[in-house]
Amino acid sequence: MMYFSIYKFFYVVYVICLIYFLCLVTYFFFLLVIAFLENRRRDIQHKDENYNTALSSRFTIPVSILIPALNEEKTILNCVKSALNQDYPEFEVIVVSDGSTDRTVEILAQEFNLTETDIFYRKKVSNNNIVSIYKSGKYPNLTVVNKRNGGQKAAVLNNALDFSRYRYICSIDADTVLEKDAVLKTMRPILREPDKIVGAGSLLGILNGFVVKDGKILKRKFSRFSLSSFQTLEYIRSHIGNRLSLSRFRSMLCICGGFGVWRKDFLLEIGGYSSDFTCEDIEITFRAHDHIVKNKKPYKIIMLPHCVAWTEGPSRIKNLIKQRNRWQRVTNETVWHYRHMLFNPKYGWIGFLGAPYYLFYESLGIFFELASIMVLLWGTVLGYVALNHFLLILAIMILCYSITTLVSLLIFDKNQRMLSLKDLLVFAGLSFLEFFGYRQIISIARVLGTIDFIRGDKKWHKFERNHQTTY
Amino acid sequence: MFYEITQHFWIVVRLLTVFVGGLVIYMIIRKAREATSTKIHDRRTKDIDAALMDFVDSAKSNTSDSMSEVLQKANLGELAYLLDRIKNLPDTPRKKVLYKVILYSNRLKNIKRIAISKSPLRKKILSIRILGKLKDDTLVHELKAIIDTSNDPDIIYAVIQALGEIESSLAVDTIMSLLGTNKFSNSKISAILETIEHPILNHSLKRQKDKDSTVRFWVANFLGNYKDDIAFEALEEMLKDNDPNVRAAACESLGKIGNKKAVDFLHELLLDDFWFVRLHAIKALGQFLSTGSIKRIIPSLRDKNWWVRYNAKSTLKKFGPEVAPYMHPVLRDGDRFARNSAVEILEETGSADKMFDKLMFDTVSDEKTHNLFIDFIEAEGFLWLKSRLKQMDKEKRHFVMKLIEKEDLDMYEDTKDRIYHGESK
Repeated sequence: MMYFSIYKFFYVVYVICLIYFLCLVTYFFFLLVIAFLENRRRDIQHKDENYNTALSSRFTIPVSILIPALNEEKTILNCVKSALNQDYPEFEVIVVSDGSTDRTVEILAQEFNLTETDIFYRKKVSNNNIVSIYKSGKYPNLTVVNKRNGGQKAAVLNNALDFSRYRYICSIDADTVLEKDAVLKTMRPILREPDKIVGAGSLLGILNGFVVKDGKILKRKFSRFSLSSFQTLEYIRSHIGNRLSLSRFRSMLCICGGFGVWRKDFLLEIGGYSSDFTCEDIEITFRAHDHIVKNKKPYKIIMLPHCVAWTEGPSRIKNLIKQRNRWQRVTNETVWHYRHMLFNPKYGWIGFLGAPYYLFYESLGIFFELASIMVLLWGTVLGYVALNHFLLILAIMILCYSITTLVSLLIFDKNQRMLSLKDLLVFAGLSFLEFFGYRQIISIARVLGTIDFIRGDKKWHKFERNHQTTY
Repeated sequence: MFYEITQHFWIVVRLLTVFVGGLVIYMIIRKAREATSTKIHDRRTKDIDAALMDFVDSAKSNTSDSMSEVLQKANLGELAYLLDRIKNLPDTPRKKVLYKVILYSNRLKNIKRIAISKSPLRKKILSIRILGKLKDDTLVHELKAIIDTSNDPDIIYAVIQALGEIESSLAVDTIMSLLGTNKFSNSKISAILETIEHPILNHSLKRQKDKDSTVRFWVANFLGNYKDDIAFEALEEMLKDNDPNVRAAACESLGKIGNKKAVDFLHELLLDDFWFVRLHAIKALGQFLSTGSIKRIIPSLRDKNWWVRYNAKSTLKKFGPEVAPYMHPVLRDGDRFARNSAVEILEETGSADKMFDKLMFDTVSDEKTHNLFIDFIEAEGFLWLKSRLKQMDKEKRHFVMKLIEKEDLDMYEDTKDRIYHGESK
């Protein structure tokens, strides 16, 4: 009797995991087909665009680039310089230091000849906690704001938002280095539909291994066989294989904080960035969609396949766990907060395609993953599953995930053409190797993140920079 | 049971392995092809260049063998390249002949068919762009028909770009007719219209009184490109438009034209009900820098809208030192922003330095300067004072201290500290 009930339980869990896995694979493969089509469409649009007209026209919509910074003395200079180097007719750069205790502001003051000034701004979404405001003697379009430490990136972004003057804002992280045409490429579809597109994201790559000087990328050397190379693969897979395709269904639910363009009036309409969550990026995208649906607005939030910015990824396991723990917490917080979107017909594709992905893969996926491995191990030990069958199931899982990675990689390379054959083959190999070590690290981070979410931890837990990038 | 479920897994694994292997092989082949296709492309473009030179040099015949071959064999991308090369040639009779040769070739029929029919998007866009590159007015009707039948923004954009390349009167009219129709972004249409070398003044004037305010708005923008009396008169009339957006655009364009007759009209718009009209009137006045405008702009420092105030301040700064006498009464203004602006303007135009030097170094005591300085400090000029004090010795700081103590001025403690103790504190 006891044997029968354990067996039955084991069997039920096994079938659930199998169904979950099949659904997930079908979902990913479907998204890959859509990603291919979407990438082709965006590529055609990109090739057909006359960028010279956009660059010389006074009708090109100006953009405010917002950079929140907290103790970023090692990366801030390259970030700001890359923002100032943009090929765009009219833009401003606003750096808001969240009470940095290192030399962040001092470095900026030295490099850009900052002088203290007083700028009138309206506090629409921020609090009155500004310590000093500086204008650059070298670049009239650079403003540096020093505020008291508030601990939340969202609050810093809200300050920057209040200082911004233009209709569109582009928020980037202080460790991000922009390509010269990052804003131009991202604004391209927006210039075609400024009345409809309220948010746009684009592919963000891992900077580790690159040589950067004065905000310019001098050498693109992709890290091979390191922790950051697995992250490069992950970024490509999640942007191309997931967000790009979901964008076609107007259900892309995360414009990442490293690089994202938003229409300012829309951001103000939804109340700016929220400090109630661990991070701001995924939440603001969920809230934006929620607002669009509830108010029946014809707005769009899109994702582009162009690699426009590079950010530094953690190069130590401890730091990677910290980062992914934070991501897991914010995903759980957001999914929980916006649970009313799930399978809600009012939300269309978001309710049936976008939001369920975050619930079943990003939030609960870790439990299915652990349960399936445990059940299979348990079944193998107890003799329900033969060892060769266990290995077969494992092989299917690895192969399916690898196909997702390889197709995403192919789409990425078709669009960007920045990988050599050697890079491609190395990344293809890594797509199998990530199951032996890297995925387990991520699983640990996700479990810890879920525990911290249950505990109600909302701290940022900033990771230390190891600087694999040459500045 | 589990054996039953998993017994076919071997087949799945094999299939997936083959698929993954296929993907990796495709990756390698694609990379190899990428390298060779660049070489082929380079060779083809060299052939096209050679054929083009051959045609230009052979002054007699209507075509050359090499050009005929290019026209027959070139793919759409190569044809577009050929037309770009022709565009860059000097305007000679041979260039016109070449355009005609392509226009009457069989290839063009094929291109028109692709542009009109349901073809793959890339091909269709390229065909439309080729039609534009031919710069022939007779093709405008065909392009217009594509706009009428298509709702795809990519196709419409390609047609607008093609029309922009044709640059004829009919093409400009067709593009302008798209303004305000929601077929495509007005700012993108306008950006294309801006690049057209063919003057669009007459086309703009025709639509100056269009029923649609969006069209009038863009017309007001275009008119700013013409330093012409007719454009000026049209804009003057548009300042009275019912739509505030049109009035604002007219202000901006008048500022761009720079005809001083506009100043009086712009002064009237400083009292407009809509803040952005007032804003653009101020900005436009900043282009003329007529001394008479200073007095008219000063009340805008107290405007209800902060952006108008901010721009009024920036515009007044542009006037330079001649704005200083007008700022003295503003230092005692009831509005804090106006007072602060006056301080900032006096600082940035160098007037504050002059006033301070006069007070410190002139032997004859001047009551007017003294009072002005006190007003200046009271209107929060102490931030400026702080930076100025850095450069002073103890004796001068002492003088400032006495002056401030005498008047019992309200200021920040750290400024007082700096006055007493200098930078070391």
